[in-house]
Amino acid sequence: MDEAFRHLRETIVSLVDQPPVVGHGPFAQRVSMTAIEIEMPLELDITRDAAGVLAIGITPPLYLLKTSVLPSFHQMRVRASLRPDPGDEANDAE
Amino acid sequence: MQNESWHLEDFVDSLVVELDKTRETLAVKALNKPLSYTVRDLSLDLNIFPAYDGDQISFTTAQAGQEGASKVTIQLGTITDQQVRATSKAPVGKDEVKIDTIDVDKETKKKLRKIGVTSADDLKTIERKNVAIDQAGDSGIDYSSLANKIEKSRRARQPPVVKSASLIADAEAQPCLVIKGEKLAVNSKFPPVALIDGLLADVTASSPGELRIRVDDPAGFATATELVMMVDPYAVMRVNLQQGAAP
Repeated sequence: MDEAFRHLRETIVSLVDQPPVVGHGPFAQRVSMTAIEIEMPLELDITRDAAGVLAIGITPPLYLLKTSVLPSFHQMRVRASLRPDPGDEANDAE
Repeated sequence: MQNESWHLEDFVDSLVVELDKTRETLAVKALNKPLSYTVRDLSLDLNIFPAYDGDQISFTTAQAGQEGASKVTIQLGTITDQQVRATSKAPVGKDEVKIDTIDVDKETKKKLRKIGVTSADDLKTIERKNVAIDQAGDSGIDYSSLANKIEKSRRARQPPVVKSASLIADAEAQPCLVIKGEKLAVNSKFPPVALIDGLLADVTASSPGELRIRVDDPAGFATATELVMMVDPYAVMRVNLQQGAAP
């Protein structure tokens, strides 16, 4: 995989690793984020390892310049929600 | 840099592994953070060029400057293990014969895969429902030949084993060769057949652990004697016996 790209899992973990409660100080207003939905363009690098397994490498657009030949931008949407949530409890009960 | 071409199945497999690892990483993080996020859905819109080689469709992701790509959207949601069990075929068991492992030509394997047959059990299910598999989906599959090859493959995984041979007198005081072992006579539809030095011998009793063969000329075992046992159509054993001193 090209060094500019990262495994899909690393990118997703970085994207959703956000503080759930935003606000500072004892008197500041606090906002709780119950879910994150991110939609972003990405560049894709698909390679195959020695065992023949596909490795999916992704990166957000590497350059912000509008060049005459542009990379192909794919699109990714990730939805993450707070854990634990009611859905988790329902799943645990099954 | 040219992207690899890939099959949808391979890509989704890798995607699922990535998503599983993501969830595992986030679950570990959650041990230290009482409030953290977990991924619920992932969707990818891919610009790809499909190609069909007459057998399978492969995709290549669009490169810089390439136009006219098709768009494929892959969406992964979340599902419980119970839902997976309810909506999926059970995985092929450890002892079950996979179609990929039997000695049939590539074309037949491809035809079987097309009609959803991946194991010998799938074939049995079709047989039980009285479906003429040789006419299913214009497949042209020779079922009887296939069934034989599956049985052969199954038997090859559990071959008969001879552990000892001894000459005794049976209940009728007739000389009798007792062959002890494992998985000897396992097919109740096929009585074992034995040849002693090329002559047909009478198999008086058979079980998975033992065969009893009537011997007409016990003195013959003084020299090397060839015993051939066919315990079912897929297992033939040839052993050389010679009478020796008891241990």
